[in-house]
Order: sequence, then structure tokens, then C-alpha cells
Amino acid sequence: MTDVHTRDLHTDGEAGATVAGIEVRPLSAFTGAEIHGVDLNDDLDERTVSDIRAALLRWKVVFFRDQDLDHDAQVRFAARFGEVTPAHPLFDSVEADSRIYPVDKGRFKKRYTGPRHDGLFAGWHSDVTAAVNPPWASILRAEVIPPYGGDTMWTNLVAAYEGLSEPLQRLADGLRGLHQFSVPKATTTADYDARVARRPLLTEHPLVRVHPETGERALYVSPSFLKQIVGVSTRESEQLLPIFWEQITRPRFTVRFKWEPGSVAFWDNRSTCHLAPTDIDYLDFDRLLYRVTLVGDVPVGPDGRASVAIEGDPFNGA
Amino acid sequence: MAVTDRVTIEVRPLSGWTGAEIRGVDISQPLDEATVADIRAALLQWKVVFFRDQQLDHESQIRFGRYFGEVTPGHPYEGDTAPEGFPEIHTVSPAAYAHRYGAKYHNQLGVNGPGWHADVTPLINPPAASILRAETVPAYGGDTQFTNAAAAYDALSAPVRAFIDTLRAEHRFGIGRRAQASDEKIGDWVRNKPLAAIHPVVRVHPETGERVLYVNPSFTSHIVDLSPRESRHLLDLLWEQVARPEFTVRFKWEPGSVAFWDNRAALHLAPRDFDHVEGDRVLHRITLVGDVPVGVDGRSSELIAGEPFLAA
Repeated sequence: MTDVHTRDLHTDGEAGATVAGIEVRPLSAFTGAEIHGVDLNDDLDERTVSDIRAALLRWKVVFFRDQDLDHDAQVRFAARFGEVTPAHPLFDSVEADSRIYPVDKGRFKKRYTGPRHDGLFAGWHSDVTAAVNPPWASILRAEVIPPYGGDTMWTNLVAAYEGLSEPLQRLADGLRGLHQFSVPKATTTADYDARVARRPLLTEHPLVRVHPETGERALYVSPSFLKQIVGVSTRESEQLLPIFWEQITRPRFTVRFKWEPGSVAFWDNRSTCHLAPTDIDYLDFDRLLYRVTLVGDVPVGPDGRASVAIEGDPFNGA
Repeated sequence: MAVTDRVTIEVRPLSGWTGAEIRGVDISQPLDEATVADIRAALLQWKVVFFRDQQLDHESQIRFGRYFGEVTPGHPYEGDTAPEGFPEIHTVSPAAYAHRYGAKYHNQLGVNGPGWHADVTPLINPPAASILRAETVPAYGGDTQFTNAAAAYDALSAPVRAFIDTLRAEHRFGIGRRAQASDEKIGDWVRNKPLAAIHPVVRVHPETGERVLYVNPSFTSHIVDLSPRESRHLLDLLWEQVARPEFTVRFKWEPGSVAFWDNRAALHLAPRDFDHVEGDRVLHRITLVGDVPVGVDGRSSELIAGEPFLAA
């Protein structure tokens, strides 16, 4: 059994100090693990970084508790794993740091005038898949958390792909889809429409993405962004997408994380979708988290074909 | 044009894809080869052809059928309900259905929605064609609809066609729980004398070479090798496709009307709108022996339960 993996004590070569290994505690059969035994404020040694990365690749999302990060420390931690992007291609960063994207409860009020989720799969997404190179990872830290409500869910897109029947896998392998921020419509605000218009992002991604590090196939069907399967009729697309969306949201592939102030979630944005909570809309409590994302590469399908930007520039470093 | 003394038939299409009325022929009489060939050509093109004001009885209906193939018994389950002396005749009427299946069973909408079907596809060799003649019909209500399964296939997108070209599906008599659990005659049949086969989802038509969508909501239980949930999604997509109004024709019966359909390329939908209408509705069907379907990959259908359905 390697589900709980504890690293032996080892000696840090440079300082000669003894550093305790991380402990990885899986939270569900397919998705999510809590990592204990590391303070993300520390200057992490290479082995710790590579152990965290290994846990991330295996469990798709890892969680840390009781961390005491500020914006600088969050960016510093993130930079150990890749190049940090600006906060968001469309939306504003916090004033103090152009790389920190605030996930606050009020943000949707600025974007939508009506209910923001309508439909069974609405809200599930990988971050910014409208870009040709969506961030490969996201790191989200909790600052203000309600006493109850506001849990986030993740799902494992590799497990979802592997859980399809072989004929459906083959079908998905050959398909590609268009990803875009929600098309401005009656329920969006003028500010939202202006932001989407200022930086139009429209990308054709494969429906199955070959993970660049693990070689696994992931069902790459970010419901909030994926608007249409290419090469099939609009109606067929409407009929086929729910098959794949239903698959990725099957409870067995998901984990549900209860935030506390100081919690940090670090997910592989190439092999997960997540669902922002909507139950807090009905509660008076505030909720504020901060997100940093890492520059991603361009997805590649099983046939070796890369994603194609139809509109918009890559989402590159800050 | 060759000089001939035969009566040239007139073929009047009834919709863009499906159905044509054939005029200028009395099908109760002996037919010459050219007329038979013309009718067959119209059938292959339009999937169903109709004749009006014909004077057929059981005997002449069977004789007409034999110009186009061998005639089967009325139904694999129902030989005992055929009229005396005519085992080939399968009578379609509310009374006949209630007698055959049980009165409680026959009038409910199934889990797959409207019961579009080709005749007896649970057989390893479903009939190639069906010929149905109207004896008594109500003044209004009771129209039958037909759809063109080749046109429905062609109108799918290339990725979906390529996908379903590789699939196979199980067809079974009495696919619903209701039939399986029935305490009427239908329950007896499906439990004790099951009929089932695995057919390609896309069949290559043996005469035209066309690819036809060969699943139907009355008999197709599931697509094999898919999860039940995936199969449900896919079949729903295909049911919607075959029932698209642009591929269909709706035929209003009169006494003496005859419909002759290519059971390999057409689906039809029995009417459910006339229960409250005064007047009986009695039609008589014969079917022609069919061959074993073959898929795009050249693989034939597989028998699960039952026997080939051969000449009466």
C-alpha cells in the first residue's frame, strides 16, 4: 500500500539540517490528498518540492492546512513549481500584487445580473481553458471562510476518462471542442461584456488531453468553457457533451474540501475540474480566497494535434 | 423507349425522403417482370410504397408478396392466431393485439417513447419487407408514419457516423420490465421463448449498399460494450434522429390501401390516436424472408435466442 506515503527523514545537503518528510493522506479513492509536515512559508528543499509535485500528479489536487501565507509567500511557493501568470486574463488582480486573483464572494455580482448557474453541470471548470495554454496549476489560499458552506469540489479527469467504456473513449479521442468565456447574454453585466470583448479568447482544444508529465489521458471537457464539439451538428453536440459532463461529475471521481482560514489547495489544472460553491449565495457570511496560477503549455490530443487559438493570445508569464 | 404492352406504373413521391404512391397497377392480378422490377426500384428508393383502392384478399396478398421474395409465417410468436388456412397472415387490430399480448400490456407508452420500429428485429434475420393491407379503418385517426433510416444515418455528422459504424446492439422482444414481468401472454413469451439477436448499429443494405441506422426504440435494448448509462444517452440521440420529421411520411389509410415497406431501411410507427374513435381498424400483414444483417465492418449479426425466420 502506498496510499499513505511518508518520506524518511533525510539530510539537507546544503545546511546539513535534518528535515522531516511530508505526509500524504489521500482523501478519496481517486482525487485529493492532504499534505502534512510542511510549512509553505519555508524555503523548501528540492526533495520536498518534488514530493509535493509527485503527490499532485497522482492525486490531482493536494491540500495544506494551517498555513500562514501572505501574497508574497504564496507567489514564492508557487514559483517553485513554475512560472507565475498575471492574476487573470480578464479580471482584476488585488491592488497590491498583479499576480494575485481575489476569489471573493461578491465577484459574481459584478459579472451576472441573474442566477449564475443554470444547468446540471454549470460551474464545473478547469481554470481559463478559453486560453490556448490554460494554466497548468492553480494555488488557492483561504483568508476569510464562513463557519459553514462554501466547500469546493474537484474531480479527476483521468479517472473519468478511464471510467468510460472503450468505444466512448475512442469517440472522445477523436473529438475537439471550442472553449470560451460565457458568451455575453441577458444575465451578464456591461462590465463583464466589456471585459470579454476587450480580450476575446476562443480556443479549440482536444476533448482528450494527453497529460504532458504523466502521459495519462484526461477527459478535457471544462463545462463552463466548452461550448461546442467541433465537426458535429449543434444538436449532436448538445447531446454528446452531457455524456462527458455527466461522467466527470460522477461522485466517485470527486472530493469535497472544507476550507478553513489558512487552507491551501494546489490543483493540477490539466487533469481536474472544480466547482466553486454556490451555497454561500444564500448565506450572509463573507468568503475570500486568493489564487495564483502557473503558465501552462498548449494541450495535445491523442493524435498529437495541439490546441489552436482561434482568438486571443496565450496566457503567459506576469 | 422500348415498345411494350405492359401498363407503366406511375410513382408519385409523398415527401422529400420517404414514401411514394404507386398508381396504374392492379396488384391483385399477375404482374409482369418489368412491373415487379419497377415496384422494387421504387421501394428501394422511397423505402415505402403505397397502393390505393386495391381488391386484395389473403390469397392475392400472399401471391403479390411472392413476386418479391419468400413469404414468412405471420409472426414468430403468433402462428396460432393466423386466419384458418393462411399461416402467413398477421392481423393488425386492437382485438388481435389484445388477444396476442394481453389487453393491459398493449396500450402503454414504453420507456423509449414512441414505438418506432422495423418488424421483428429481434430475429437473426428480420423480414426484408412487409406488406400491409387495410380492410377496415376508422373515418379519421390511425395514420401510420414511416421514416427513412438511410437518410437519418446520412444526416448525422461524420464523427458520429464513424463512431456508430463500429457499434453493435442487442435487439430483444419485450425489452421493458413491463413485458418481462407481465402476467399476460407477452410475459410468457419473453420469459420462456425469448427472441434476441445482436445486430450492427449501422447495417449495410444488401441491395443498395446504403448504410442504414439499424436500431429502433421498440426492440433495441442496449448498445453492447457501452455502459448502460452511455448506451441510454447514445440511443436517445439516435431515437431523436430517426424520428426527425423531415425523414418521415404519414400515411392515411383507406379500405383497400396497401403499404409495402423495405423493412431493412424504413422504420414505422403504429398509431395510438384512435382508441376513442368509433369504428374498427383491421389490417393484414405479410412479411418476406430477410437475410442476416451485415455491418460496415463486414461482420454479421449474432443470434442470442430464437431461430431463423424462414418461409412459411
